[in-house]
Formats: sequence, structure tokens, C-alpha cells
Amino acid sequence: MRYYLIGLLIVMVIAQWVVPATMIFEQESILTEGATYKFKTAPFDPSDPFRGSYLTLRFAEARHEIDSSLTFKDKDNVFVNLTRDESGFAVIKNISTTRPDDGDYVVAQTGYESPVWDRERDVKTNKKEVAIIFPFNRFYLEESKAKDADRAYQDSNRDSTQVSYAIVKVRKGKSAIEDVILNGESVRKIVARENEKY
Amino acid sequence: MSKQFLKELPGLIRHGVIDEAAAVRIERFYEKQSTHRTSRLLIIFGILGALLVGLGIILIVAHNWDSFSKTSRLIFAALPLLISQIVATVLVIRGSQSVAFREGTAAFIILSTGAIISLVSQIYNIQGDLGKFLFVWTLLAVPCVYVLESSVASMLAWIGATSFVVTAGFDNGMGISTYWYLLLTALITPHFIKLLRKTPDSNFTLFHHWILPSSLAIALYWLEPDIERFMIFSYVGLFGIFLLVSQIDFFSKLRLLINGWLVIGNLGTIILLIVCSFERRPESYRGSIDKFLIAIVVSYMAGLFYLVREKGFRSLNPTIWCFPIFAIVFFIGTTSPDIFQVLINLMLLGLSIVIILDGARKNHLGILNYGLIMISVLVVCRFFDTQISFVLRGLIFILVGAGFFGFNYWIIRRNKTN
Repeated sequence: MRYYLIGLLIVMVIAQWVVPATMIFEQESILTEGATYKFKTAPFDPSDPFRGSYLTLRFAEARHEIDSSLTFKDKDNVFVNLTRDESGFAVIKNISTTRPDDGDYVVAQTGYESPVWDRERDVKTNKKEVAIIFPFNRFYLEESKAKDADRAYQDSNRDSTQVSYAIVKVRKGKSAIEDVILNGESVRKIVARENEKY
Repeated sequence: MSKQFLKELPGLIRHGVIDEAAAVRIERFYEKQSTHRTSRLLIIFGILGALLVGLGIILIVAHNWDSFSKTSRLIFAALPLLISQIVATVLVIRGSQSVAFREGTAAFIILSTGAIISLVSQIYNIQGDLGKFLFVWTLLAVPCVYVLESSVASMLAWIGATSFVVTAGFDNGMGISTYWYLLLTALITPHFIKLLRKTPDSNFTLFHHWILPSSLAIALYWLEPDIERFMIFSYVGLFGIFLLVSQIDFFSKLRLLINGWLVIGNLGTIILLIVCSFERRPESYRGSIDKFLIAIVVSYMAGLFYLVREKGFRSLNPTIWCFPIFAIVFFIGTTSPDIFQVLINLMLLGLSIVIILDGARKNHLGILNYGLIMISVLVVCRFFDTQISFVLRGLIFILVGAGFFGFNYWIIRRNKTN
């Protein structure tokens, strides 16, 4: 009876460590071996409330034109192939429902489909695009600093001369966010400096 | 109460009501009772303490101390789990019988497991899927139930499984499948059966009598929320099964309020019937027969067959016949909706009369008044039906009011004369 309990205890202890350990190893391997992409963040409604102790990131590259024969449901899992533009920021090459053989890609979810808007003529076109929800839109900060960081992030996004982006590591479809850069400086450093002032 | 009674003992001996030996036996009896009470308090405070300390640690680490390195933050996140596992190991190896220790440690381990997963997610900015997280957390909590023989762990696992099925069902099958709920419940049910066998009267068993039926009743909808099923029909069936369970010898001996199977089954059925009594063209007709509905009907029939064979028709609580009667009424209603409403109302009326008679037979004022309240609710609901004339509605109200007074008076008189 006791042996059976001890056996079960060992299984329990191992299982309870395996889960967090797998998460840590996976993230560490993405951070050390993954390809680096800079995702430009987009300005968003400043009234979006500060949520918990993290920054909610919105990306400029968040919609992608798709073939009109394709249809995605809300929250379908898709593979997003990535590449870089001339200034080194991440752009979506294409999206597919099957795992790509080569190149860097992340598994993301689709949002709503909508027709592509022709900005010059201000009319709808026949083409359609779908929203992409990346799995890395939260950046956790120390509780007291998150609010300042949120303000700094929103200020920099409202000011069109400033460039802000998230550094994301990508490996085999998985991704890990490494840092958020506001106007060439890490958000952690900005907040630390702001805190020193007071 | 006991202390006051103990003070009376010398007087009772003096007047020759009891002898000294009896007085000693009475004193010993109350002493034993008071040690039971202290250990129960110890268990309650042990569990509460473990839960509060665990939650406190989660909140402190969740502050996400930026000044510490990633490694030290990970170590802090892992410490509670490590400590609680060491305590659990000591308890198991020593074969500890202390309920307070075992339950407290189990609660602490479960919280620490949830904490380490969410804190690693926070440290690495992992977005995650709430449904998946709840599933993994509950699954990791299951061994605690058996390793530490912990009922708190079992209750937390039931709550976890229920939260999981709701979260996953809310995602409408986009994330993890809700069917994993069935696996989780299958894994934790053996502990409930063990509780029934070993400690049928303990508080933990009594809590389970409420948690299990509540969880099942919540899960039925969320297991497949996007399927158009005969939802009301399925629920009347599920509540019918609860009523059958409450009739098994073991459960039928439980006190009324402790027997969650009986209370949820009974109230659930009646509420659904009242809802149906309003519907002229019931929405619940739309839908299809799916595997859960078949499972419910088959389990109900099997349960009914078993009970009738074991106990005979007579001794069963009449409310268990609600489901078969409802099934007939339901299918009559699919062809002629007008009769459906009349039949449902008659069914409710019949059910309340049966309950009132049952209360009268058992001499139980609670049951009797429950039946009377049912009739009153039915009458109040029909009060809003404009087709019935004011005179008739007035007469019904007077009759029900008189019934309340008359029945209660009759029972109280009968009790007095007996």
C-alpha cells in the first residue's frame, strides 16, 4: 500500500515539474536559437484601458491580404510566414493553413475578414484581408512600472516621428518576445529612468 | 449545551435520576465530542491557512520584481512547489494520519502548481490559452487527491474541471476539446466513492454531495454548446438521474438539505417545468438527438430499472417519474403545441399535490409547504396569463391560501394529538 503511494507521489512530483520545465526550456531555446524579428507597433486608441501588470501591444503588420477563395473563421490557427522589409522590420510574406517547409514562421490566430479599402479612391475593393492575432501581444513588467511603461508606449505611438517595436524571437513556429523598444531604447530602461526622477 | 448539561450532573446524581457510573459515562462522551470539535477546527484552519499563504505567495511573486534576474525570479516561483512537495513526501513516508496536515499540504501543492505555471508564463511573456491552462492544472492536481488522500484536493479538482469545461466550451471548440472534462471527472470520481464507503458522514463527503451534481449540471450545457440539442429535455433527464441517485438507500438516508442530488434534481426539474409552462411554441423542440441525450436516457432507464427491482414501485419518491412523464408530454407537444402547455401545467399541479400528500404522510411540514409553495408559484405564473378570467384567478388564490392554512393546521393538530 505504502509503495503504491510512494510510486504515485514520485509520478506526481515529476509531472508537476515537467510542465513548467518544458515551458522554460522551450522559451529558452526560442530566445537563444530563434531568428530575431522586429515587429513595428501601431498606434491605438489611447482609451484602451491599462490591463493588469503588462503592456498590450498592437502591431502595424496586423492584417494581410488573402486570396478571395480562402475563408477563415474567427480564431483559426494559421501559419504566418515572415520576412523583413528594407529597413529590417518584420512583414508577413503569406499565411497558410499547412506548416511551411522552410523560412521563419509563427503560429497565429485569425481575426475577422474584411474587404481591402482602396485609400486613394476611398472605396471598397474586391480583394479581402484577414486580421492576424500574434501570440505575443503581452509584455509583462513589474507591477508599479507597468503603468508608466504603458503611458510611454502610448505617447511614442501617438507621435508619428518616433519608432517603436517589439523584438521577437521565432523558432519552428513558436515565438518569444524579448523586449519592447520605444524610440531606440528598451522600455524597461525608460521606466527605470522615469522612476529615478521621482 | 454540553457544558450546561455537565453542570446539571451532580444535581441529577443527588436526586437519584442517574447513578455515578452513568454520570462518568456522560462526561466521557462529551469529552470525546469536544476533541472531535477541536480537530475539526484544526482541519478548517489548516486548509484556510494553506490557501491564504499560497495565494499570498502568488501575489508577491506576481509583482514581477524587475530588479531580480530571470533566474532568481524563476527560483522564487518554484520555491512554494518545492517546499510543499517536500512536506508531502515527509507525510507520505511517515504515513501521517493528520487530516489537517494532509489537506493543508494538498491545497498548498495545488496552488503552487498553478502559481509556477502562470509565473513562468509571466516571466517569458507567454500568452497561453486559459482552457488549456485550467486543464493542465486540474490534471496535475489529480494525483494529490490520492497521494495525500485529500478531499480538499478532490473538491478543488472538481471546481477546476468545471471551470475548464466552461472556459473551453466558451471558446466554442476553438481551443482544447471540452470532452477532456469527462477524463478529469473519471479520474477524481474514485475518491468520492471511497468517501461514501469509508466516511459517509464526514463534512467532506457532504460537500461532495453538492459539488458533484452542480458540476455535472453546469457541464452538460458546455460539453457541446454549439450543438442544437433538446436542451430542456436533456436537463430534465439529468435532474431525473440525480433524483434516482438520491433514492439509492445510502443517499435517501441523508438529511434533506445535505442531499444535493435530491435538492438540485428536484428544484431543477420544477424550475424547468415552470419555464416550459410559459412556452406556447417551445423553443426546446428544435434540436437533434446527440450522444449525451442518448447517454442520459439510457442511464436514467438503467437507474430506474435497478431501483424498481431493489425497492419496488411503492417506496420510491414520486418525483422520479417526472422525466418519463415529461418525455411523453414533450413528444405529444412536438405535434400539438397547444396541448403541451396544458399538460405541463397539469403535470406541475399533479406533482405539487403528490409532494403535499408525501409531506402529510411523512408528517413533514417542510415537504408539505414545499408542495404548497409550488402550487402558489404555479398560480402566480398563471396570474400573468390574460386568458383566465379575474374571478377564476381570484378563486384559485383563495383556494391556495386556504390550503396553506388548512394543511399546516391539520398537520400541527395531528402532531399534538399523537
